[in-house]
Amino acid sequence: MRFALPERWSVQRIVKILLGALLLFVVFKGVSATIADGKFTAAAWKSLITTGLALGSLYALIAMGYTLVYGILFIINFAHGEVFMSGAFTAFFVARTLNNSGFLNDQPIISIAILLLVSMLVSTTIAILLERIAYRPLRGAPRLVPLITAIGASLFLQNTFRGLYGAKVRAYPEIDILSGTVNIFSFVVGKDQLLVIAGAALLVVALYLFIERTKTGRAMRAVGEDKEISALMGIDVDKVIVTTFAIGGMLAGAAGVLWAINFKQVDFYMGFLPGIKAFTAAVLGGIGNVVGAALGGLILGLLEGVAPALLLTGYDVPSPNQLKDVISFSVLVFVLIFKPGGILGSDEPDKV
Amino acid sequence: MRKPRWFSFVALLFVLSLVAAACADDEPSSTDSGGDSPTAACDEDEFGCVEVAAGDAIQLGTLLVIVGENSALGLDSQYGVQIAVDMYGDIEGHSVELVNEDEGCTPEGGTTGARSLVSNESIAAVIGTSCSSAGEPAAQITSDAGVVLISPSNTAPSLTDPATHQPFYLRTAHNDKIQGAAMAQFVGEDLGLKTAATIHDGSPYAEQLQQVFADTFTSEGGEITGQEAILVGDTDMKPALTSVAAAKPEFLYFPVFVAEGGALAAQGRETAGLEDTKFGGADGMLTPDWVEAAGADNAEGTYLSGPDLAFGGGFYEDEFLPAYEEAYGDPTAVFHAHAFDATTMVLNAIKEAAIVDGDSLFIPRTALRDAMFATSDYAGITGTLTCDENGDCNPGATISVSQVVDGAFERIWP
Amino acid sequence: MKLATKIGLIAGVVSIYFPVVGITERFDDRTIIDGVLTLGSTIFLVIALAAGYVVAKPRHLPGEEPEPPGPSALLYGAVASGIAGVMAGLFVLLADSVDLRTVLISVTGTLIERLSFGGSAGSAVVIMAVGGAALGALGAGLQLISQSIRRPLVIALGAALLISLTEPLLNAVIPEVLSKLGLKDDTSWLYTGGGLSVTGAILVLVLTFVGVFAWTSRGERVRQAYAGRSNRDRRLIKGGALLLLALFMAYLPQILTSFLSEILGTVGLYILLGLGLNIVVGYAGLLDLGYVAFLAVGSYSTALFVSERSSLGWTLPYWQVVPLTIVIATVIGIMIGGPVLRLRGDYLAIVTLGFGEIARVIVQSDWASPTLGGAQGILGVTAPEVFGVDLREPRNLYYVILISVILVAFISWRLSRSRVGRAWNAMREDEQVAEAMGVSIIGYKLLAFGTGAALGSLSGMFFAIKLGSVFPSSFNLLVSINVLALIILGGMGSIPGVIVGAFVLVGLPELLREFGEFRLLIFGIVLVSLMLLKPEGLIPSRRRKMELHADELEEEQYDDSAGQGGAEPVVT
Repeated sequence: MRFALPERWSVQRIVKILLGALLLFVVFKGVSATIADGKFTAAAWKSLITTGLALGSLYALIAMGYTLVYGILFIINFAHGEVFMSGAFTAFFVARTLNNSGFLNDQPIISIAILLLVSMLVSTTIAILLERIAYRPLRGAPRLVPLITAIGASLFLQNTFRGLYGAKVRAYPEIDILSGTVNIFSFVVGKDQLLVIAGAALLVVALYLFIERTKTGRAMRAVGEDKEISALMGIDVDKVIVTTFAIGGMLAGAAGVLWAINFKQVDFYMGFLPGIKAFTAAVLGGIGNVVGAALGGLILGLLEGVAPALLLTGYDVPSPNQLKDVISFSVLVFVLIFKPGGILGSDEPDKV
Repeated sequence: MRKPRWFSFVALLFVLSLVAAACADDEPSSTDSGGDSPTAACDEDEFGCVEVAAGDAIQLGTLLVIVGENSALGLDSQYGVQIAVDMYGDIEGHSVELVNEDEGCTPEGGTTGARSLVSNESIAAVIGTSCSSAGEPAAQITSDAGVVLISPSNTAPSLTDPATHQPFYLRTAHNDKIQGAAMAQFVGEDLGLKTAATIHDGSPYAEQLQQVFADTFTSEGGEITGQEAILVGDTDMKPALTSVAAAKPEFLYFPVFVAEGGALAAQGRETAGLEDTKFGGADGMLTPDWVEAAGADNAEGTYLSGPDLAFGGGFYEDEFLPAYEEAYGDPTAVFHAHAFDATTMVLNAIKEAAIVDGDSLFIPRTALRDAMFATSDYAGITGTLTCDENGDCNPGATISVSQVVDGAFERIWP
Repeated sequence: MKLATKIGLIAGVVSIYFPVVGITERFDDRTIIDGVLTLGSTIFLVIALAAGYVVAKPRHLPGEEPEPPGPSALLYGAVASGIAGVMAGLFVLLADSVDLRTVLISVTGTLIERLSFGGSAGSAVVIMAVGGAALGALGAGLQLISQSIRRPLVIALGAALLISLTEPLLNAVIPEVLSKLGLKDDTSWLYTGGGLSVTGAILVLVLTFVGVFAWTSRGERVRQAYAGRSNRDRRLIKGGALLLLALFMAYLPQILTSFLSEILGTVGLYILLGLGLNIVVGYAGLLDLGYVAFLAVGSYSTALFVSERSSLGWTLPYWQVVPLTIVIATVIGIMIGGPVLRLRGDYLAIVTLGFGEIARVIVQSDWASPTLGGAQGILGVTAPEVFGVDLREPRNLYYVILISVILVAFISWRLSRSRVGRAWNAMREDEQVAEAMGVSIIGYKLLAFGTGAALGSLSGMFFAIKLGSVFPSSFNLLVSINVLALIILGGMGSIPGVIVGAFVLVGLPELLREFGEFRLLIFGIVLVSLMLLKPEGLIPSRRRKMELHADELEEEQYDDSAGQGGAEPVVT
């Protein structure tokens, strides 16, 4: 069963090259057939792209929470999707009250700010509690242990909120100034989509600056490099970790409201799939890397929006959108085969 | 000192295993001794009799989805069953009692639930299942055991397909073929629309309905411009909507369930190319929960098909509904009347097939089945019911279409 | 006092949590002791007792002798649970005066009525505070009595709860056993109204108490006698016990209804799945979150080849289908495993999760529906007949599953002790070192992945036979999580652990079906608290225990050998 080392490398390389060529061929053929087919107008493509971008920026925002926590603790916080849900679901009741009193459409900007604040507050609280109760006692345990805890916490939170608020799907009230569209470079963009994309971009840039420029941000990076040395350097490791969870929670809370504004509805299960997708995005971009997570989110969103139509219509696949997850996960697998650390991650093997 | 103890242990094991084997062999003979019933009909019947001793209640099983996300559907049916039992009164001096099981709307749940009911030998018949996917395995299990299973809300065509029908299975629900076709007819003839597209969610129910709709619509001269699908749990419907919007269909049919149906309606309203498109769905969305999930503004004007509950006779409006509302509040689904009819049919059949022996009752299982299948021109709430040999008791079911007007359902067709 | 307040506040939050998510109201329908106690109120009792118990627990700094708790502990316990009671009472008061139902749907009028004990909401505060304090003091009192009495007492209470909760199972089995023994099949002395009767409760409490008490005082001698035996003898005794267990399992369906056999079959199915995943995760250390894919492959390939209604239009006999299915699954496992097994742990997790989702989406899709049936699934999977025995009947299928479980358990036990098993161990501990030592990493990873795939497909086959039809919706992520959770609950890498895990996570919930809605919630709580309290699982494998508790175990081993050394001269 043993091969000589150099030989195996060459076999692997040949397989990779063949695989890559095949892949390019399949994609090229599908895309050209689709474009020749002419089912979609240019306007339709543009609308698919904006949809994908809006979804992608939300994934990016949620992915921040995964990537930050992973960068410092090397654990997959599976319950992060539920952190996102908790804020959005709680803010629904505030939105409903504001809508009933008419305040929502009288003072839309203040209202959105209130919603964001409530949602961020709830999500941050849940994130901090999660760290304190479920993860802190397990620091230093083998990696599988916090992962299972995270899965357990995810189920627990999901069903707690189901018990609290019920299993019904709730429609977020419409905000009048966000209905309608604007034209940007001939792209017809919904105002709600614009808010989502702009809001997410702003928050990601703010986070990037925070991590690169502030003292706390530097402390976070230091703890990610080496906890013991950081502690010796006078950094309060516990505090840094709590801060990390809090920031992840805040962004997830913001993403929750933006998600609800974009997709109009919330329920207790809404966090699960976006959570998995956002984690996929973080891995795709190179986990532990903020820019990578943002990039991964956008790529994943665009893939879900555009790829089924672009790639599969040409092959006459019925109901192409059903297969969107197949495309996204396949892309993830292929990216990892060619670049094991993700798009922007380091390719070094496990350092632990 | 050591050896004897070890030997005694082995000996003990051996004896125990012998006892076990002996007991196992004993079993058939012990059940045989119970077969000395007073009526010859029971011995002749392939599956024997249900025996109801003096003073005991006749037991009926229900196998509906009563826990979890889809419980609104199953509980509504269960209430219908309960009301039917309450209104029917005693049979030959025996009251009727219900044993309720959950089927979870999954094949696994249907299997476990059906096994649980079948292993209780005093259960005469079962009302269920709610979901067709649970019904497939359940019909097989109950038929193997000779227990009548009648469903108020299974709509999958395969269940009463002659090639696959299970001998003890019946239903009062309409076949999906009827509902999908009725919607296509309504859209083509009454609305006069020529092009339509469909979206389903990968559930057997939605996939079947949209396919029947598409086939009927095409055969009546309409054109299907696209068929798309989403996944249960999706929230971003825009790609699928944009895909069907490319051909600007006049009608978009998405017979899915509450959550995805709500998202489709809400996001469909703002998809370019669907501005003038009319939306339609089926009975999976025919509940106030869906209007809430979509938002009343987005739901406005949508056409939803469902069983026709305007039965003409006053019984439903005057007696059934008040009894239902008093005990359980507003109905959460549309199959309570089907459940009521199914239960009453079962009770009628029991009355017919049962052999009275003093104070006790013997119900031969095959005779009960035959009595069920012999039901003809029974005037139920949901129509005049006649069971065919494949277990479809409501082949002439009428489908009505409602439209959402000011956030409420208004019946507009036929 | 500060501690008492803190624990009291936590207990208060917990005791508000249960009614607010709707557990209290739902669990009130379940009787624990007929006419005395429902499951809903049991939760409150346990919280109050536990708060007192924890507060009074003696605390000491490392190296110091623990101070035995004094009577002041009673006061602290009362304070803690009293605080919890006041909080719960205030919540009732709040819920009574403000309508919380528009947001918190579980806070119904019935709930408030029940929590106010029929009186006004104001009186609820008083009752809960006083009752809480009394229970807290009682809980604290438990710390004052000696260990030899406390332990049997706590175990007896737990046993009563367990026996009451498993009423649907036991109340179906016991009459059957009684009538086999020639006794009257009446169980009203034990169970009435869906729970224990008062006499039954007293009976269970007393018997368990006496039993455990006797075991703690006399059991040591039995254990010593066992330890003193030679290795060969011990192995024989172990083997005998296993044989006895196997005989019991073989006899079980004779006293069970077909429903309970069905559940046993389901548990067996999950044991098979667990054993398969155990090789991948427990032995080889490859975190696979998409194991359900192989269940799907097994089910679909069985259905495809067996059902007359599948797209193939022809069928194969089972003796051909079984090896074919396993080969297909193994090939697929190696094909998808090959390129990704080089990835590091967490990446592998998300990629395998992706594979699981891909499998489900593809079998559901319209694209594959001409072959795989799409949303409509594949119906009409006929069960095989072995020597004239129909395997659709759950009892018969149970035997086949039981034999498979024994076989697979034996194989994986041998594997774990073979050269392959040692290579997997080395690989799991440290990949680089293992590679340097000459272990072919990719080869052994593929072997683990392929074996896991084959075993998964075997369970898939039973799954298809059992249901008689396959639908895409059965193959969701939750199945993967369930299987992973059960091997971790039992103890990774431990075969008895898998079996226990499957009974706890699959069997128990089937019996408690009426709690369906809260099943996942409880599941979540169990997972989190288990990882916090006992991360190595219920029945850990020895090696795994060493990894997690290296220092503690060393001590224990030392004690063990000291004990053995002391006992040995006496016997020989």
